[in-house]
Amino acid sequence: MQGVEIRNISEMNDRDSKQSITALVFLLTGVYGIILFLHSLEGITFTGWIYLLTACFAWMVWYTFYYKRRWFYCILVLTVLCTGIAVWWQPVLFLEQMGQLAKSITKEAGSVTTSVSELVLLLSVLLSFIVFIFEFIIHNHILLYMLTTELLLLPPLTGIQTHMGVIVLLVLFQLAFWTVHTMGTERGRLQLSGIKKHRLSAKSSMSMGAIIIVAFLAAFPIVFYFSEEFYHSVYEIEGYVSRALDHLTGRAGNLMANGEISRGNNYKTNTAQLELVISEKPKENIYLRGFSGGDYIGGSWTAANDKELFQNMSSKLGWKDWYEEIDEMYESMYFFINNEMELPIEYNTLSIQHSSGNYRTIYVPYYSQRMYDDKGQQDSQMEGYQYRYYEQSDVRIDWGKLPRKRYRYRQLERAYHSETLSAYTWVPENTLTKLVELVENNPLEDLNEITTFILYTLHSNAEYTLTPGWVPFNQDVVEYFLFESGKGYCEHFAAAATLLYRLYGIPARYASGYMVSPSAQFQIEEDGFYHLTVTDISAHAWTEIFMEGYGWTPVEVTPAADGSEAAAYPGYSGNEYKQIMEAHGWNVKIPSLNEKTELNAGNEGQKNWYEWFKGMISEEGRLFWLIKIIIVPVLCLTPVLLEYVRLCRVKELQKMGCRRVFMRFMQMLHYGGYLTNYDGTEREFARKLAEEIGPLTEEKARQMQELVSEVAYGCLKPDSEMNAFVREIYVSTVEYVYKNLKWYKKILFWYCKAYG
Amino acid sequence: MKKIVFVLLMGITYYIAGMYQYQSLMVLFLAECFIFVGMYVLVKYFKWGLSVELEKRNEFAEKNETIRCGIKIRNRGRLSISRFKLRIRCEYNNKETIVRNLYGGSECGEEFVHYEIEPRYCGILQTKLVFLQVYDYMALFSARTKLKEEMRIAVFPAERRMNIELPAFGSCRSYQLQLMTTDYTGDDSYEVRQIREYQEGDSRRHIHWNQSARTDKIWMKEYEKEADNHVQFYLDTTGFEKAKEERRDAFYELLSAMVMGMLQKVPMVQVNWYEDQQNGLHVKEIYNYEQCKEMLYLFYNMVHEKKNGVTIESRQEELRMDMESAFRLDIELRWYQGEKLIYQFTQESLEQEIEQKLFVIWG
Repeated sequence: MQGVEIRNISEMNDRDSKQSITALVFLLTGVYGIILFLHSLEGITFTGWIYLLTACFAWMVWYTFYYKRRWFYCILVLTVLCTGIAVWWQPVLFLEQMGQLAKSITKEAGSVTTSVSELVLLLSVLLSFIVFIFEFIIHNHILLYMLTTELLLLPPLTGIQTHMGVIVLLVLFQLAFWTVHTMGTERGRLQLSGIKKHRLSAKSSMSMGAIIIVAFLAAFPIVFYFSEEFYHSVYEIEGYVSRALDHLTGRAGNLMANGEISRGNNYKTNTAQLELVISEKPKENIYLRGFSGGDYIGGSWTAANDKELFQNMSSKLGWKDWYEEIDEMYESMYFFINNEMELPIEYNTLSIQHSSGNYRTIYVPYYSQRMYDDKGQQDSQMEGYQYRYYEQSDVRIDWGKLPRKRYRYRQLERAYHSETLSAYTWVPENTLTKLVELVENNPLEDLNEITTFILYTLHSNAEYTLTPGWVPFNQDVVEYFLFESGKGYCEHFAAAATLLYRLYGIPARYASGYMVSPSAQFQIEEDGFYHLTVTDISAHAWTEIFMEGYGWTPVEVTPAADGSEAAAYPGYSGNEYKQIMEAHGWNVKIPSLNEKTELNAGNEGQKNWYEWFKGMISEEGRLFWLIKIIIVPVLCLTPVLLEYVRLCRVKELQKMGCRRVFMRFMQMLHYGGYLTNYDGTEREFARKLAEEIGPLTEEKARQMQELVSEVAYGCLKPDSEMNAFVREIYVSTVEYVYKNLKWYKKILFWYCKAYG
Repeated sequence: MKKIVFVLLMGITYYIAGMYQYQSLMVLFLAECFIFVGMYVLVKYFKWGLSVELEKRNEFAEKNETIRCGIKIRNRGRLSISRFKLRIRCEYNNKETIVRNLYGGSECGEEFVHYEIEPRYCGILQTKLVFLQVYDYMALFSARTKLKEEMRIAVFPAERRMNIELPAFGSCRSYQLQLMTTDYTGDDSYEVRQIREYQEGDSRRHIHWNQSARTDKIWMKEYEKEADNHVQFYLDTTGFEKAKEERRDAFYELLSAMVMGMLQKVPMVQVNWYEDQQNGLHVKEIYNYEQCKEMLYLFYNMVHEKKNGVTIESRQEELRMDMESAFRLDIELRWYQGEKLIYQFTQESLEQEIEQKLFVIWG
């Protein structure tokens, strides 16, 4: 047996078990935060009266639970019944509204806005109950904390734009109740007695609420003015981690071109990928294509498969015997034909070696022909491979001058072109509605005009950056890039341009691989060849369009670092670009798209609070906004203020002398209708007081009366014990009187007469 | 753990805010940073502002009686403190230590709070406030202040009387023991010195029936020995410092019951014990229960101060009393008269033995 036992003192003070009204206010912040979150969803709307109704309902639940317990259970049962009846009576309505709400969350609502007031009212009532039960009865904050954390972190992932108010309210709710539940009042813990827990929790949660608001007020301007710096700091950390992981896993030196359009940032490692040896220093960009895209499905490109096209061509051309040859013929057709032109232009040779030794992907320059060894072998396992190629400016095919024996090539080209018109113009229009609408609103036919329009659209609405951030889960990466974020890199520009070309009916493919610029750091070797180590910094994506006489031609749609327009193909250059821009009055410095969400225009909008505020008021009616902005917060804050004032008065009471306390005691009794004919000096006052006020004994009443008389008329100076004695009687009498008062007198009594 | 969770949440918020370039969430992250730092500063502020002290340094209580210990809490700051932890250590002579944490909160200003303890052993119970640990509102951080507050509670046994009869009062100052479980029939071999009026506590065996019958009062026979009658008790403290608290508790219970039992028969009991060479012999004359408690309190202090293991010596040769007639009680609960063992009490059934046994001690 232990020699001593320490234990809790059980205190039968009902008042201590109640929660102050500040707890109700913080409960409302949680409920309002969730309602505001629903309010920020696109595609749904509901009436603002729901806020007021929710506040009234929550107050009713709180009040009945602590002061009229039997009524609480009635309300609980009634709420469940009414909810059930409402759903049973109008199942179609509620189902429709729930479906609309779900679509809004997943951003499938489209442009139609539906009213969901009934559903939101039902949800807010149920929410008030659930939050109340979890916080005040079960005292479990974890589940609600997790739910609200999810609501805070979910919007960016799904592209939902929430107000700052949602975040502030939910955080206030989270941390205020975190404070309350941190008071160490769990079961099984020894507690010191004599502490007014409900008052302490109210004060602590109010202090915490003030700290939270100050923290937000301090954070907001800093983030507003330095948001880019904050974002970049995140990218730097992510980049560091990403590069480290790439090196560790070996992925850094083993990049492969593919059709995935990245939904995040792009971090280069500057790891060697290819070793190039070229016979001549290039005069223009060399595009080494490793991947060509076929169909665009779910944010990525499938690999282009020309075999099917060649099959169709073979049957259309009647080249059944030549079918096996079409592939090889077409692969190097343009090089071969250009070579046949007997131009005074030498082709270049290009040797490519992969630094990783992995030759699963072969990088092919345009207008090229693969070179084989003496045995005519192609071995992908050999160290490197070679191509002969012409630069684009050196391709001058004149089909008219082609000898008859080469006429098959012309047939081949036409047949292939015909196939590309169907194979490489398909776009999933049902998922890219904004792009479709853009093209429909800007009908064009000329290739150069189309190219110029595409460049204008891309460059005026998007900026190049390797760290554009993530794309929300439920949004198409290309449409998000062009219509919402306006930030991306070569993959996004190329994918967007390819889709736009296709929507205009021009066969286009997304291509990825490496792009070598003439300004690259070539090293001249002893044999006169130019050597270059290509790193992942040169990895690139571009669009290729099919042009008659040239085949698949690369079009550079990514803006150059110096701001110049690099897009060029036979028949189109910077001059054509400028002329067409001027002809249409297009200005690349002015965004051509009007649809901007809060993310893109948010910074602009937030800088002009006054205009926004004015707009909101004129839009919805000033009177209604007056109610929303002023009256509702006042109604909600009034109980908090009253409670705060009352607590201050209670504190003052602690410092009052027994005479003043006794004076207030008499005032309080008279207001409650007790002993209205007595002023406290009568002989039978103590006896009468004990008769009227149940918990007070005659002896105590007499002691109080005698003490106060001595102090008032004698020379007795009261000490702290005497004052405390009188105060104790005052407090216990206040509670007794309050309990027995009529309901309409209670508020006035509590906040004015007893502690006013 | 909470800190880790909060920092993790901050990290996730920061990452998502940056990755999606979500300004509101970045504001939340920065606000969380400020709150995190704020809580750290707050806990230092609370530590500076909060102080505790015990209401009393000394207390007297009965064994198994609930004692309400008051603590004065003073919060100098302007913010209320939602949670603090007070570690309390209770021990008897550095043994039987129990440590508990008490939780509370504090509004601004001073307030008095309480906790209850129930001592189960007699002796000096020390209640020490070990440290005060304050937490911020979110319990992310804490700060500790070491305390030196200490309260000593002297725990006394409940007032009980052993059934002891001292039938022989004569000139001879020694008493012979005859352990009986039946009523004593008496032996009037000693000379009656005088008769006097009955006083409360007098044995009915000495009622002068003849005289009482003649008058309306009860008269008692007073023997030669009664006029100068007291009992001497010697407390043998050998082995006391090694004894467990339960054994010591039994010793105190037995001693108190014996002394009070004897006081029913004699007007005074003289209790002696030897402390050490420096402090010598303690002699305490006891006439009532209050003085019995005083004696116990002196004894407790001696035991308590010897807590560092200094041997409590028993030096019989320095005693100034007649050991042949004196009673002796030792830590093994053996009751002697001189060298003769009167009775060996047992710790387990001590209560029963005190309540039910009748000891008749002959001269």
